[in-house]
Amino acid sequence: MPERRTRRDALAAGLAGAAALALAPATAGARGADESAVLTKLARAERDAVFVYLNGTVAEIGSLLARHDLEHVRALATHLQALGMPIPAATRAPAGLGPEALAVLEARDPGARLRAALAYERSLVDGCARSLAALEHPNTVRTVATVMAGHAQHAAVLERRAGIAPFSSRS
Amino acid sequence: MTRRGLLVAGAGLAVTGCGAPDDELPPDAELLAPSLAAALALVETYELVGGRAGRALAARERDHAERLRAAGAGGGAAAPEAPGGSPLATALALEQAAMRAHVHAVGLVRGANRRLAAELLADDARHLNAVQALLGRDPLPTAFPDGRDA
Repeated sequence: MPERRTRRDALAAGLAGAAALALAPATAGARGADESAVLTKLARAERDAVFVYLNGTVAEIGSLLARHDLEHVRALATHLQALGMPIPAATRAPAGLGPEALAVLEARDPGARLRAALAYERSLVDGCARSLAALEHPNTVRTVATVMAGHAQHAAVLERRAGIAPFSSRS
Repeated sequence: MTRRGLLVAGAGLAVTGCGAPDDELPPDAELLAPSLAAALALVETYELVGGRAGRALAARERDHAERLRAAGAGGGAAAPEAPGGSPLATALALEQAAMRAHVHAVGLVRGANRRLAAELLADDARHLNAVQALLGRDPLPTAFPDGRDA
């Protein structure tokens, strides 16, 4: 037998429903803002990486890494455009780069530069990993996860070139 | 359409909120099952590869399988198909299959399992890179290692 609802129950249910409807767009808007901010930060990090590898002389693979990172920017830009957000401009100077990026540019010899690039790639992997929880849409998550995997591959190549035992770390 | 185009296709749809509600998605156990099947197939294949690299990669895939089981991955998925040939060539195909499984799962699984799927994807990208190097192939053929080419 169905439970009998009082007038007060019905009123409370109606108010709860109205509140949910009123709050839903605001919550979705906040999540969208989070996602936009995270994607903008990631795209800026990829722009920085392009600058670092075009200016850092990281063995002969620096230009390839820069090309990959530019492709990462473009993939992230597609999601930013879909959210109506601007795409970060190309990085043109070292001002504003993080410490891992600066370390690549400031390394004094090729060996030190390779090790700095490896640490830099690991920091880019970590940056993608940290951002995943703030993302909402499946395809955006997939793009960021594949960008993360791209940096993991870069790290693997740099490890080999730096003479570091493969698989000495998880990612 | 390019690979990148395919990868980001649907971004516009996604932001309009057209995705299936969370309760219509399969459970994580089901979404992660293909990743587990691929990891188990890779353990066997890397054991056949042998040597230091084969043993190291088999151990890492065993670790993947343990992490997936701990996350509740189901055991019912079929092992991915792999072409015959050398164990390394089989490993290459299986790594690609594993990465496709992770990419599919990462967009749909919930909570901490999202990070797990992304970490396994990143780790398998490194494995793929190692296998390509062992096969004398370009270890960095793409900016987006998602298992669709290499």
